[in-house]
This record gives sequence, C-alpha cells and structure tokens, in this order.
Amino acid sequence: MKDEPLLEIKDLHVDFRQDGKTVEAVRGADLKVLEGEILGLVGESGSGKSVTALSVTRLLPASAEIERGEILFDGREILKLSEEQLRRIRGAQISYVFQDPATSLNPVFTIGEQLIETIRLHHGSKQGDAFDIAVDLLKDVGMPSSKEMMFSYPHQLSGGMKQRVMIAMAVSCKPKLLIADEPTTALDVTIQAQILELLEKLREELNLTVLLITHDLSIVAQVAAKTAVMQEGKIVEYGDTDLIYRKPSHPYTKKLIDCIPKMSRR
Amino acid sequence: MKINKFIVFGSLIVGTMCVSAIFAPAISKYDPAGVNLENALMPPSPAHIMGTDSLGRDLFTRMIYGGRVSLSVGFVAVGIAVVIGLVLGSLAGYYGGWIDSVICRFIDIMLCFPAFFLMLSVIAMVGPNIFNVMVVIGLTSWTGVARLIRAEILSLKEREFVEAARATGASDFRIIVRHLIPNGIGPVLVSVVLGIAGAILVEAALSFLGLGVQPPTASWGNILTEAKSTLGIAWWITVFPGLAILVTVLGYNLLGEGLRERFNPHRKG
Repeated sequence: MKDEPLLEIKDLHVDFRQDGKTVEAVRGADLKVLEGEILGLVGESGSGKSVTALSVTRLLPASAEIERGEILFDGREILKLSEEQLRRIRGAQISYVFQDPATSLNPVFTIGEQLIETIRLHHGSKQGDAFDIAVDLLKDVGMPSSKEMMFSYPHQLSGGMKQRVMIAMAVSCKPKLLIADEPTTALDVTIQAQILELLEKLREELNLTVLLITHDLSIVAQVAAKTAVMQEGKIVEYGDTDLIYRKPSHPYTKKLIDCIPKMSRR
Repeated sequence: MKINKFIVFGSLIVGTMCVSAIFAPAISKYDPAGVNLENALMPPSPAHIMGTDSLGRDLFTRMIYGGRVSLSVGFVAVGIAVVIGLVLGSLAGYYGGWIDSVICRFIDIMLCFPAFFLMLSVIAMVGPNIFNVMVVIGLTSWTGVARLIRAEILSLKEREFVEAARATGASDFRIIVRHLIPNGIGPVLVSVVLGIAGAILVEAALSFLGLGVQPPTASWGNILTEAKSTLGIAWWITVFPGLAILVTVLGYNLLGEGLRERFNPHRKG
C-alpha cells in the first residue's frame, strides 16, 4: 500500500442547470483516495455523493456542469482529457457498480454475452478466450455453477447474484479504482454483508482501490479504512473510520452515527 | 406459453407463399411467358389448375412467378425503409436537441405528402421497373419505423443499464447498436411485418396502373390489368390474382397482429 493518492479531488464544484435555475450539487469537495484502500463516502440523499462519483469519469447528465475544480487520477487530469481518452479510462481503469443491479444489466442479453462484450471492449481478446475469462470472473465473485450462469438472462437471477455479476463486470478489465455507488442499498441485509465481504476480498486479491458510496454509516464501519462525510456538497469530515466512529468532530457526523439503531440501547 | 392463433395462421400463409415463390420452377412445368394461342382462355382444368390467359399462358405458373415479384418487392422495400428508419430514428432519439428537431420536421414533411401520388410521380419520372418500385416504396415508408424506434430509445436511454454501459467505456455507437436497438426492436418488428403487406399492395396497385413491373414479367398487379379486358368471359384470370393478393396481405397482417399481441406489455397472463 503506497501513501500517495490514486484519486485526488480538489475544490470540485458541480452545478445543475434547469429552466434557467442553477442548483449547486457539489460546492468545493476535496477528497483523497489512497491506493489499495477502501474509502467510504457517507452522506444523506442529495448531499452530492453520487454527483462527485460520476464526476470522476465525467459521466454526469447533460444538465450538469463541472464548474471548477481539479480531479487527478493516477497523475492525470481528468477534466482536461478528451471524450475519447475518457472512454478508454472508463471500465478499464475506473469502473462503477451502481445501486440497482436489477436495472443495470441489459435485459435482452445473457450474462455471458454482456461480460464477454465488456472484456472484448477493452482487451480485444478472442471470443473463446473472453468466454473463459468470464467464467473465471464469475467464479471469483462467488457465483455457483458459473458456466451455466453464462447462459442465463438477468431476470433469471436474484438481486444479490445480479450485483455479483455487476461486480464481475466492473473488475473484468482489472481497473485500478472501483467506484461502488450504493452497491448494497437494493439488497437485503444478509446479501449486503456478502457483497461487502466480496469487495474486501477483491481489494486484497486485485490490489483494488474502492470508493464506496453509501448513506449507511454501519456499512462503512464494516469495510472502509477511511471515511469521508459529505453534507450539502462539501466534505465535512475525513479521517480513519475508527476515529470518526468513536470521536466524531462534526455535528452532522454525530447525527449520522445516532441514526444507526443499536441493540443495547432501547 | 400460449400459442397465438394469429401467429400460426399468419406464418402458415406467409410460409406457403414464400416456399411457392422460391421453388416456382420446380412446382410448375410450364414457362410463365410461354405463349400457346391454341390454349387461350381455357377454364381451370387438371392440366391448367387455374386455367390460361388470353395468350394461352398457364395462369398458375404466372401466379407463383408473380409471387416472387410481390414478395421480393415487399422484403426489399421494407428492408430499405427499416435501414433508413432505424438510422434516423435512433439518431433523433439518442442525441435529441437540434438533431432530433431536424429529423422530426423532416418526418413531418414526408408525412404531408400523399405517399401513393408521390410514388406515382417519381416512378413516372424515373421509369417503371421492379428496382425503381422497390426503392421508391422503401424511400417513402420509413417514417413509421423512425418514429417507433425514436420513441423507444427516448425512454430506453434513461435506463440504468445504458449508464452502466457508458461507465464501462462503451461508445455512443455501441450503446445504440448493442443496447438500445435490441431492446426497442419489438414494435419495429411488428410494423415491419405489417409494412410488407402494405408494400405488396402498393406494388400490385402500381403494376395494375402500368407503373410497376412491366409485362411480360408476371406480377399479380399486371395479371389483373390484362384480366380486365376478358373479365366477362374468363373470371378465373381476375379471381385468382385477386385472391392471392388478399390472402397474402391477410397472412402478413395476421402475423403482424399476432406479434403485436405477443409484444404488448399490457396483455394479460
């Protein structure tokens, strides 16, 4: 684990414009993600977490605009790259796992077809090789009978399995950074724990850096080494998860921690 | 899965027509252009099951060769329409903005023309032959496909799997071709099948007016033209091509309706 940041966001401002009105979604966010760590980005809905995450590869909707700021990934300035250069980074070096696995897979193609497509998109490997890589990937993310899974359609799988497929797809090109935007929110609690374990396992095996976005502080407490707390478009607290969890300095963080139901206190 | 009767009957009719058109030389021993004046205007008999026309040509043979013309016009014309419609419709739906405005206004303009008279005048200018008929029908009937796929893509492009695809580094072209069109092709398929029926009718009408396929090549439309003069004494020359057009169009329409039923998201069960 090196101590230099793989991803560094400096003073990021993102505005949404609609019907002549401007809404500031992100107002000066600063964030550092070190190589090989899992950073949890926490905040309530609308605090700008997802917008920050999408800004990292400029996947924002057309109504949004990056006003100013700097995003450094692996020493490259993302905001100065062309769309073509960005396309080569997306999926290959930075990949995403989105909230709802049910809608993130294309319903008319099999799991295998979609995995193979992603693999071939960046590697240009042969159909047969890509098939074998895809089967191995499904095994890595803990899919039972991975060969048969290759021929299943998304609607035949459960939510947890679909999210495993999404993770397999995300890590298929051995990215450096995985941005998981609420990856467990649509899943039930037992599956949540499994998916978090899987992320932790992949981080170790592939030396993956993970930016884990969630509104749930308990999830961050389970896997993330560092935590950043976001409120109204700004990072209000950043540091080691243990420390933040035990001694929150910002009142907002305290409130978030109070939101976690505890067994002992009634 | 319940069997859809429309699809079964439709496919049977369409299948029979296609097979008879493809294997026409094997099915009939007569030459479709073989004149035999001694046999002129013979009513249906075992030797000529649909009788003969005023030049003594076997009507059944001319019918199945005419089927080749009708079906190839149907397929090629609709093929042209689908290609143009898919390209323009997906561009409009995916990019929106001024591209969408330009393409939609162009579609509106196309829809303002009475299509059949537009075809008549264009054919009158470029000359009637089967190739021109196919192209003209194709060039005037793509608007439906374009509007369907545009509407589908407008809603599909907001779905998360499109964003997920973009996040894996897929280009716009790949997103349209691999993700959007395969998801939105259902309604287009239905309109394609119905469109083939429409194209067959238009070809018959053009040929009947003498602006389609030219004699001696047989087509259902121009057989009908020739039948006009002998209608009083030889009913079979009018009835069989008429029936062929009716049944074929019915077949495609049944198939189209059946497919519409299958793809309809609101259907019960």
